[in-house]
Amino acid sequence: MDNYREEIIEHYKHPQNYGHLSHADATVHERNSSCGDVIDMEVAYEKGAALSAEGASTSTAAGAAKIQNVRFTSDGCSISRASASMLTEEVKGMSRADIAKLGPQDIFDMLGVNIGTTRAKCALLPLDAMKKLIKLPAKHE
Amino acid sequence: MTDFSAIKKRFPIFTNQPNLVFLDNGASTQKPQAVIDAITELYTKYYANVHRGIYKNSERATDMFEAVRGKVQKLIGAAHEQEIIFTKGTTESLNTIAYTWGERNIQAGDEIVVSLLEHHANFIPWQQLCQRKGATFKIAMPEKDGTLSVEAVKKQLTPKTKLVAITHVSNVLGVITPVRAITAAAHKVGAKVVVDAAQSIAHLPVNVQDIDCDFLVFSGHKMYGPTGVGILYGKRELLENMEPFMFGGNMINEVTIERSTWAPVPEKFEGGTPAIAEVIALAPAIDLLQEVGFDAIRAHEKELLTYALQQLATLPDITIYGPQDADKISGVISFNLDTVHPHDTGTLVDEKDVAIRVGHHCAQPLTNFLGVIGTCRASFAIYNTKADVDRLINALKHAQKVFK
Repeated sequence: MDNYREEIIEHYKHPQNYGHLSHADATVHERNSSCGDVIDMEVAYEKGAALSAEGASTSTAAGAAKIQNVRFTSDGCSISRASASMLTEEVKGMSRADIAKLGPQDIFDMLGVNIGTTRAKCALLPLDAMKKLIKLPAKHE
Repeated sequence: MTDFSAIKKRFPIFTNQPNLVFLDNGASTQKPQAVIDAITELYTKYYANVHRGIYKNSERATDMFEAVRGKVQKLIGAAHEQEIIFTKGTTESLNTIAYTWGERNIQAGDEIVVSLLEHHANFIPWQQLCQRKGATFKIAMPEKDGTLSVEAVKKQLTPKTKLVAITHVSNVLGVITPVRAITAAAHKVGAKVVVDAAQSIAHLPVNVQDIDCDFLVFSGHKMYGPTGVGILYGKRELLENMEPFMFGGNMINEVTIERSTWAPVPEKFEGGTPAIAEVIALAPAIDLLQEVGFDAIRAHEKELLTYALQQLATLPDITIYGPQDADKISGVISFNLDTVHPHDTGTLVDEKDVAIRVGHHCAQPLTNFLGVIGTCRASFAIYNTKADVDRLINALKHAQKVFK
């Protein structure tokens, strides 16, 4: 039961931030080519944040822009959905630059389980999507 | 009566992992001690490159290597030993056909027909060849239950059809296709036929002269042999008229600054140092298949498939794919637990030391047709038993309990 402590099952059955935003600044679609799982993620930044196409890749004002809200929908296994649920909770209020610093170990710590190599892809799909998302230019400003 | 539990003892992984239930044989089978010994014996007692040295070790290695060609010829009933080409696997065999025969013979306006059951390895090379040449890529559709009729292939055949590429057994559904009838129909319109025997070679008798296919391909590692060795069978006159595609050592007749000429088949298609140990160790794998015999192998497999289908059907909230009839399938059963994602099922049954494959099985067009992202696949080999099926069922119950 190592991979399936209750918290993961709980997040899987009742994911946080599941659904759509009424107003998204950017959206991303990401796919796990090894299993076919898909995730769609959308983000809204705090009002007044300076947003540019460089996004998180710069340490400028664009990198300081903070996440106001984030939502996702996915067709995936419990690990990928629980990971998305926990990650989207974690990043609210964080800056793009700080999110860009998140690494695989942060996700594994969040999930609190030992993930094998093959399931690591499931766990990291939401982080990959999130990192792409914050690099996208905002749709409106 | 063959004692299959005695056969299991020949596979040392089950001594080292007595609790292991290995049901991912469609991906790759475990190796018997005789195969492992053949590799060790070569490297410890007489290793040298083949076709090169005029010394004892090289001659012995060459003899051992070339003897396997004859064994493969007999296994698949080929007319000539030169029709057996060693590749590194099914994928390389198929791509070789696409890049040699395909490049030469497919033109704009031609048509290539494959079925929707194909593994990506027997799908993408033809799709891409059609795109390079401006040819039309056509798909023969299976029935709802995944079976493929000869009529479905005939429907796609026209005088423009130059090639039909069909799997003998689906790696997702285990469906056995009527390759003999498909070949006859394809030949009527003048098309050549490629048969992908990767999933059937260790399960069903395969005779290339009986099927009358023009090419047939398979891998060593799905038939109890090593990885890194595969077979490309082609009718001799076809191979002789094909240009090589892998240039290098071993495959030439004469090389000058101005030009090169090619060695005869099969060397023409075996450029570079081959997988010597792997080819030599394929011999004891073929010996094992022939010792047990395909009548006994098929009878054992049908018993397991029938039992597994019965037992799976007793589980609540399960969807079983394919025709669910052991006469129509070989080696493979695909299913999904309705309340558990296939990836979660895979991990949870693994907690009970049951190894199955989950996902799209490198056959996305087919999983799309089934309307799923992926399936769970249990695939059987000669060392599996009814007790393995019972362990699978219990492991699936465990998965369902976790996600209750």
